[in-house]
Amino acid sequence: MGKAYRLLYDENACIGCQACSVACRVEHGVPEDFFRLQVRMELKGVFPRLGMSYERMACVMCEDAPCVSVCPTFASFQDKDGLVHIDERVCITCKYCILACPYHARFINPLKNVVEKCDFCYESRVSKALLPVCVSICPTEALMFGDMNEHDSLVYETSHKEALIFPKAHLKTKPKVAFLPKRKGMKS
Amino acid sequence: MSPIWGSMAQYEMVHWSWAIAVYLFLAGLSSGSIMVALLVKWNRHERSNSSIWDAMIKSGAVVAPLSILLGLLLLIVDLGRPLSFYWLLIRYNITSVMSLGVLFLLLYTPIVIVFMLLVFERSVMKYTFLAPLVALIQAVKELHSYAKIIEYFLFVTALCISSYTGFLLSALYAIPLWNSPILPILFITSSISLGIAVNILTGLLFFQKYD
Ligand code: SF4
Ligand code: SF4
Repeated sequence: MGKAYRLLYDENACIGCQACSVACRVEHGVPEDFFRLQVRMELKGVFPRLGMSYERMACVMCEDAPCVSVCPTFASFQDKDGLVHIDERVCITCKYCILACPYHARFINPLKNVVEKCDFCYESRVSKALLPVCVSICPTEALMFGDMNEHDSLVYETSHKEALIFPKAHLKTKPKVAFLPKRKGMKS
Repeated sequence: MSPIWGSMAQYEMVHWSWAIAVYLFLAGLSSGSIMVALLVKWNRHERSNSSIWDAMIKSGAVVAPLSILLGLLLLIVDLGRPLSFYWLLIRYNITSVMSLGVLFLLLYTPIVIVFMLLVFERSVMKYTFLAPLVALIQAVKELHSYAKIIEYFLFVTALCISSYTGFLLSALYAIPLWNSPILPILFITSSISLGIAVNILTGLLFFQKYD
């Protein structure tokens, strides 16, 4: 059976320290000013009910991925576990996928002149049964990663305990990344 | 609101440059002018050489191939890796509007060039440096019994070209305004109106013979 990976991001636990983003840069050599992953922080609400809002910006690994269906050369493809990867050899950098991705997850790596995005650290870590680097470094355990087919996994248990939000669910892209929304309200 | 941490530059980049914008215009121009020229040819063509109808056909026969060739060049120039464009010709993803576009262009461009050669057959004969093309024209003329079918086919491919550009943009989730089914209709309409205008204009300017 293939794996049903899931990554959970708990907005309640996140403190916006950007350790995940920095670890990602180091792991993948992401050039300056570009991001495979960043946590966007904003001050939201109306005084006195202010609060920090955190939003994880990265590929959400759509099951019905617009980037894969628009890629003319199959450079963007899905592997057997449904993870979306980029075959750098056949990518012609037409940029169609960048514009098709509803999550703004993709960019052109100016050093290689090829499209790049988060790949759940598949090559370097997940295929060797390690956690993605962002998950393993998070100091508050705001990130969880695992296989939904394993019923004793943390992601399985959390997914069945908490109310999850799938980003831009109305687009029906069926992301593998889900958020645990902030429970403390701030007025917006 | 500006973010507290991190750069937003990546999310605000323009990914398809002016070249694509011009290409979209040229594709609409090319397909529109050939569609109008064909419609005129089928419905209004009298044997006299001096009518505006004849000038419109000639105009379409010139404008269509030239603009699509220029457009193709721009398409390749806009790729981040122009020299790898051959992958587009080897691998076809039928769910990708871009791949479909490549297929349409591969059918459309050669036929439209042959159409130009046939319309300007006499001019081609006049110049010796065009001699190699004469053989091509002769070969194509052998097929004259299929001429009508080929013209219909050309019309259909032109229609595909003018609408696929709309579908191309409507697949873009990153730009919600374009993510709409109205876009292809808008593109066909504007391409046909452009075709009419251009054929009348270049027809009057270059191909009108006054008796
Ligand atoms: S988030 Fe974007 S890049 Fe990632 S799979 Fe979905 S469409 Fe593709
Ligand atoms: S830029 Fe590369 S990966 Fe993206 S659609 Fe074009 S060929 Fe495919």
